[in-house]
Amino acid sequence: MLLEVKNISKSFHIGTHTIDVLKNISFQVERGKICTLLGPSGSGKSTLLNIIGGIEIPDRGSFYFDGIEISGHSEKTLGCYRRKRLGYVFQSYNLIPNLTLKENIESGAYLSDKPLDVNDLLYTLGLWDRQDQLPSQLSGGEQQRTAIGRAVIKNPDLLLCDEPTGALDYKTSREILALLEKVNQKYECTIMIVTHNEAIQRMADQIIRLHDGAIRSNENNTNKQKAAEIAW
Amino acid sequence: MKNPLNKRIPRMLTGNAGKMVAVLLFLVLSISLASGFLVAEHSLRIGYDNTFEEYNIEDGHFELLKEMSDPLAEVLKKEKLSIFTLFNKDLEIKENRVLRIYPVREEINRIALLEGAMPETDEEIVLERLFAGNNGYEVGSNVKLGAKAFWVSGIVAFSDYSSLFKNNADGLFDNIRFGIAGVNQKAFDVLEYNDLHYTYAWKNHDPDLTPEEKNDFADKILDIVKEHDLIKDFVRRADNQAICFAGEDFGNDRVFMMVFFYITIVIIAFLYVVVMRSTIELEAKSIGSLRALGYTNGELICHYSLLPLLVTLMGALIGNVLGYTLMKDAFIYIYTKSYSLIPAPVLWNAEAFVLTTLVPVLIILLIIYGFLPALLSLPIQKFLHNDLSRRKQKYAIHLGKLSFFTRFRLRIIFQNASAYLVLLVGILLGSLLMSAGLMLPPLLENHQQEVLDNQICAYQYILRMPVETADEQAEKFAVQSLELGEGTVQVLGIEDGSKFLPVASQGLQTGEAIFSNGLTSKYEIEKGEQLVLSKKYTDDTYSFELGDTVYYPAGFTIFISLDDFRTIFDCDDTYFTGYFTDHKLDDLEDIFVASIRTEGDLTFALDQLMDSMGQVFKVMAVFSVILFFVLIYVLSKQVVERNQQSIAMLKILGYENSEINNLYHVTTGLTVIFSFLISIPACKFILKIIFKQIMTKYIGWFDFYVAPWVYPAVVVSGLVSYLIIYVMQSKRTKGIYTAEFLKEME
Repeated sequence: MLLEVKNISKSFHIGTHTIDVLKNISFQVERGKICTLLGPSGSGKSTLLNIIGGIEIPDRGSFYFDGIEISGHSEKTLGCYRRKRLGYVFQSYNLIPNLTLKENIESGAYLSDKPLDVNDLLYTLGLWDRQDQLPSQLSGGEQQRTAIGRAVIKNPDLLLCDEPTGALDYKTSREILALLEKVNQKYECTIMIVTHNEAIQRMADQIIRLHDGAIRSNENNTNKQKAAEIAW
Repeated sequence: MKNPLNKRIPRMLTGNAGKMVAVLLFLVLSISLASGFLVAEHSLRIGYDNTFEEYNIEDGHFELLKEMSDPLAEVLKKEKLSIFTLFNKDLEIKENRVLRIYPVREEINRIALLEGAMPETDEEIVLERLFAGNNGYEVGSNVKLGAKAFWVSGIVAFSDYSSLFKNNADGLFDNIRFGIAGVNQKAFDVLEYNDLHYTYAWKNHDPDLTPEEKNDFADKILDIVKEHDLIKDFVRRADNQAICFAGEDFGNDRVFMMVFFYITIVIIAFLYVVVMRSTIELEAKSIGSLRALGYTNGELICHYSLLPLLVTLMGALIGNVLGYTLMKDAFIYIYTKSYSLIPAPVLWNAEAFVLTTLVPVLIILLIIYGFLPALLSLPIQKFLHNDLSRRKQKYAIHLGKLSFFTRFRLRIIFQNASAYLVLLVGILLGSLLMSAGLMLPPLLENHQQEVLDNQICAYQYILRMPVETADEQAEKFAVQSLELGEGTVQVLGIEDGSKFLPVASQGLQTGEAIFSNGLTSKYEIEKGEQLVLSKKYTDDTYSFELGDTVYYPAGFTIFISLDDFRTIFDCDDTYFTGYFTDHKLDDLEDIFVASIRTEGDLTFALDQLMDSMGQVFKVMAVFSVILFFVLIYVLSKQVVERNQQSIAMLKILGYENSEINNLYHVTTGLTVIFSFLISIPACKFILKIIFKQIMTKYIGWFDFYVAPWVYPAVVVSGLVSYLIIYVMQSKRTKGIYTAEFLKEME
């Protein structure tokens, strides 16, 4: 078991109002699997991903990574956890504008004791020919592939993807999903994908549905499809 | 593995080239000025101090009415000193130009050859550098001394004349109308002259005497000389203005210079902060991602501080190189324009390096490292959501029913408050610098006019001994210089019913003293208070009670009746030291006259001060214009960059460039005007305080005066700088493309 989440709750206070974003969430994710977190906007899926990523602290509950409790640790420990064990991909790429594509990926390699080979990864990502371009010279799909490369180069145990295809067109979205699948297979890293796209669940091993801050369902996907076969 | 983020430093540098070059230039200018000043001052100081031993400068000299008598020579031989003959002749070589000629000396007060050769034949002469330069002489020129023509074989510096004081009692040196020259002994002996001075210099055998011991020894020499021969003049080295004045002047501007330098450095540090904050805001999402990936705050702080650090180090390096070369030469030029100094090698100055390089770099780093951790320690999600505010809940300030454009402009001001605050401080500092640079020449001119308007008489004769004149118009007076702290106060005894001094014509009461206004202002003396003065090298003190104040800008003076003067200083009933008169006194022999102070002397001293300080005033004015320009440029550019997306959005909505300029650039313009509106009154207030502080340290006193055109000139310079930048920034706004913005939005 790579990840175990136990009774996590989280609230936000806006003025005099309190909004319960996550209510008593518990689930487990096995190593090497692809897990999707599905739900409509405001269901709490990004907050949950941020808690697992050590970016936010839960009000209650705990989670275990590789058997070690992570929640409740100091910012320094959480930083070390993110640095050594996690990869992160966002909807809006967030590349560094004045680093080239390759240098952006290297900025991830720098953090790891056992980074993957940059050139090999550039081939895998299909970005070899574009490696010296700046982000502003890349298409959205290329930028997202670079962002995935930056996260994967660290050779992380867990890759967290927050709406990775949210800003992309249909064709590019499918390419990105195929890439994530390839990364999962080639580098054996566990992937958690937050999405509101119902179709993406079909490529996952595990599907967790959130609604209004609570888990509505948590099931293994017995009809798992290849990314290339998914259409919506 | 090296941090790959640092690979973008060159790109960050080129991406921010305009701002960074402006800051770099400003930094280079500040550091080179401060470094050049300190290096020049240090090198000259060491060089000057070394000349005492290297050129065997005298411990003092005396002048006799005729050659030294044998009995005196015999007595002096028994003392622990060496006597050297330093006869010299004063000769008017053309109207109002006097040359003091010495035979070339080999033993005492040696001469430094700067150019050409020392005189070998009877027709050759060497001239002191400043006089030669100011009067158009060079090696190869001809000088006519009386009937004989001389060929200038060399340009030199006399080690005992670093300041060209003709008489030790003169108020200021004169390197235009008075010069020194050297010829060989044979040529000297046959030279015509207006004045022959039988001067003898002495050098103590014991070089390790304390100042007090040297002074006591000089007193002993004075007694011996007076006992045997008729003495005309007696000057200890410490009292010799020609030798010591320059040394006392070195470093007088140091505190002023360093205070302004450090204020400039703090402003530069805040400029960095504003630029870095803007960069971090622009890259907030990338920073959030990096933090999410595991980059630590420390790594990001290091990364974002690297560019300012590099620019600062580059500035320090170039600034020091320029400081040790160009600027050092410029400051040495300023000093050597006033003083006849012997060239000194440039010396490595560890103190200058610490003060102008290490300390500024530390100040900048302290401010940067004080600011960056606070900003970069914000939660990751704040970066990811592009919200770097510290407040939990952000409410917009309610702006009521103001017009849309006014509200928009106010929002721009709120958004860029920190940048505009730095702009305000910078404009205040620039205004201060420029006002100081512009106010001093008219202040001196005003003072000069006031001195002339309030002068006692056209000719003030100072006598070597009381000698009567048949001229009935001349009025006797007596003067005594006394010490007050580091300054000198003239106590002037004037005749009852004096026609030259209005205060005296009202009739001075016995025991009453009238003080000049500068004296009461500087030492803050109230009516009825006592002022205690002392006599140099003695334990004698004299107390004067302030009866009234008179406007007399020529110097610190206490006016008392001549009778009181004689009583206080224990003189006989007929004692006096000079005459006030409105015309020349023809019946006084030159030998009895120590000096004549005329209107020309009063104005010449100030002209000379203007001449030597004029370069510094210009440097200050130019520096402040650059300060205005750099600050307004960097900060207005900042505002545009920060709002690039908003400007693009306004263009998409259909706003015209003029309307966008009206919103963004006019807002900066209004802030500039507002900053001047605040700065000018603040500047007046601060200048007055600084001026008073400077005057309390200065040996004299000038009334605070700012010519009416100074402040308008400061504002106009600032606004012209802004207008140039307005044009530059308008072009920049025009060049913001909406297509790029739309692409980024995608």
